[in-house]
Amino acid sequence: MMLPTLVKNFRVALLVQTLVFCLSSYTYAEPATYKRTLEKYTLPDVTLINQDGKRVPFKSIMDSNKPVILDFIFGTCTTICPVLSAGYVGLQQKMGENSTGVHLISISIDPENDSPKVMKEYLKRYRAKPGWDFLTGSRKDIDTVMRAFNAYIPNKMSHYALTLIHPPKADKWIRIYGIMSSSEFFSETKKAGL
Amino acid sequence: MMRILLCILVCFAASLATICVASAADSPDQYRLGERMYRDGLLSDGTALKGYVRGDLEADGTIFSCSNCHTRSGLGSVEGQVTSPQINGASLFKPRYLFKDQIKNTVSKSKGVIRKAPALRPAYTEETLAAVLRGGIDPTGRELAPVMPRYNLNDKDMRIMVEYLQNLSAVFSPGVTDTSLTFATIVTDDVSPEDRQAMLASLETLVTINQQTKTQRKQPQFAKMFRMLDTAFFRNISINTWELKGDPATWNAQLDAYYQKEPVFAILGGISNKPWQPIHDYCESRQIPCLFPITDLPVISNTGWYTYYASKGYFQEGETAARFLNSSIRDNAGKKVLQIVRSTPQGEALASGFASAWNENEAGRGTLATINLGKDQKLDTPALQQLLLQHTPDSVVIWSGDDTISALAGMPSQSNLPQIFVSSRYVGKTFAAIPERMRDKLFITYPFRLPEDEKKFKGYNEFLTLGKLKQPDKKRIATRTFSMIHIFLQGMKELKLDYYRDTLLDVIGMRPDQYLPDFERYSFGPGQRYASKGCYIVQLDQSQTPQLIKRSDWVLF
Ligand code: HEC
Repeated sequence: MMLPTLVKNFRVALLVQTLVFCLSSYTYAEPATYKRTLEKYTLPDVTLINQDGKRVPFKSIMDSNKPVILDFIFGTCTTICPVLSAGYVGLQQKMGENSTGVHLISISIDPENDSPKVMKEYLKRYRAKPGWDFLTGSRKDIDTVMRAFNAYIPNKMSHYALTLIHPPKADKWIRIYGIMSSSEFFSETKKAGL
Repeated sequence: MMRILLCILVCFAASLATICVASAADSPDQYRLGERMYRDGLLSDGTALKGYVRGDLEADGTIFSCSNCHTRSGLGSVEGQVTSPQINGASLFKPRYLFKDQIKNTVSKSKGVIRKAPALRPAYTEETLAAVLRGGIDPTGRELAPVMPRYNLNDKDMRIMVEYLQNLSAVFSPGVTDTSLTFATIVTDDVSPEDRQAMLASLETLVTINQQTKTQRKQPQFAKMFRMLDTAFFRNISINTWELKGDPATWNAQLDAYYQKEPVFAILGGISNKPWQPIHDYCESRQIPCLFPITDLPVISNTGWYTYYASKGYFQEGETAARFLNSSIRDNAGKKVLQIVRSTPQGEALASGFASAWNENEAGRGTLATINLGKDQKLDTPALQQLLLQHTPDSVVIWSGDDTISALAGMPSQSNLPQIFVSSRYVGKTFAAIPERMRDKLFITYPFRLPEDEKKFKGYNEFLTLGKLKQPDKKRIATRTFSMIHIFLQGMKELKLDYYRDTLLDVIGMRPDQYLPDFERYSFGPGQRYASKGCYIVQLDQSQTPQLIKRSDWVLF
């Protein structure tokens, strides 16, 4: 067969590519349980915008006597965000009337699409109660925040599940990699001073 | 070796096609109920489908549904380390192999060897599928990852769901045969011959290159870009030009007539100076993807699925002006804004974007008065002066065409002008006439990358038009068509051999940011339909041929 080499290479490339894709479905790497570490972070001096269009100096989130919990999501994400956000919903349900006893914060990793309007709709869809804020900002500021938490995600489709918990006044954050069940999440939050 | 591989590809495609025809929806109503369950998480009785993630995390189907993770077409998604696999009819009901085993088996079979490499899992049956959805145990006894919810489904709803999955992306979409892939593009009769040519020339190149790939007379300069046609190249690509004439109210019927004559897989680009609405609606109702038409008057919708737009066009400029104003007068709620709107599709789209963003920020915004100008009503200096005197605004937003510049240029030098906002696209390119003294008052919405940064994209307008254009590409038609083709080719690559329209839309939605001519970024996301999210606010410097100075970020909130 007299195919030019370029064409041959194309086909091989295609096969290899498809192969890699199919394999990836089965070298499934999500940890069976979550990984927990304690880390020190310095909050950057940036101003973000919440679902009501209000400007929020990022450092001010630490001015509270409540546990602060952070995750990274975006409004149109496929797999990880629904599961992370279901965790927030579950926690708020467990706290009942006292939903504001913890400050839940979701930070957008798709800031250009996540306008206050999109974020507000997202929170509404998840039936978020008061105490859960969704923050967006300029791409530069969002990148700075991700880097500050050693959570830089350059492409939103390579997103992973990360939850950061700050007990009031503590000098360290609890960094949780992976997905907790709702009882695990509740008990982590309790340990953090709920 | 190559012959075998090619043979495998063809067999693979053919085998998909045969499985597919096997099942057809029992009844349309049943199918609709299944679709609602899959996409919106609603059971047949209208209540929410309930599932559990990681044991005890409740996943209410109305918050996120199967389509969130497995995508609308069921071909699945990969997000970081979590893969939601293919669950369409063509994949679930046959054994799954590692791809290398799939190849090995096909090759062995062709040589008469019958011992097959083992499957990862056998084909699902109705029973095993019910078991995996309820209990998370697949037919090999493997427990699925805890991210996949375990669902409460009664027998009746399970039947509906299983049937839906059997039919989901089970047969290739129209416009595809074993030997051909048919597309269309659209040109409306208000488009000038030059503009028409600026779009069609690149599409012709696309067809020619595919043809040349087939006949092996390849041009190396295209190799990199067109590698994405690999999966398609043994099919003939054709692109029909659908010409739409006369009253837009008749476009729907014209489109239907073209489609009946020859169904197409998708619409590539398209160009019109008129609002895109009738074509958008047609594509929604016929479920035909339409990729990045050249229009500045797209449909603004949260729910549209079939048309991808490069941006929100004029609407986006209007939004940007309002956000800029909102943030600059944030602390001064008493300030007055006057908006002058010409009653044309352009003026109205700008005003509607302005209103939408203005209303986002209820706290702290100023007061807004709007004056409408008739389509042919003149906006000259006296008329403008009169309006300013009457309303004494702190800022005036003028959504009108090139008459704006002469009206502004005529304002007497001693007058105390408010901040003025105009649209660069609507006004056109005559900013040199703006007197220097007025330039620090003038703010311009500019939806493109600034000229000095655009220099690195020089030549993109000619890459696919191959020098066929007689005029410079001032309206960015060739460059926008280039970007459309680039994204289309990436989509074709990701599509592999899964010729389902929804899959093409799904895979484009999962592309990373693209850095292409005209806009700072084309960015995507599942379900997002406006790729460029930004627009600058610029001012003019004091030089004779004024340069633009950025006064804002690309994206404002
Ligand atoms: C939060 C994301 C998510 C949602 C929502 C979800 N799935 Fe899944 N699904 C997954 C993941 C991840 C897997 C792969 C699990 C594994 O292989 O361990 C999976 C696996 C499956 C499988 C097994 C496929 C195979 O080849 O064995 C089926 C079937 C399935 N899902 C159907 C559904 C249906 C139907 C719905 C809606 C009622 C749904 N899923 C909702 C993420 C999700």
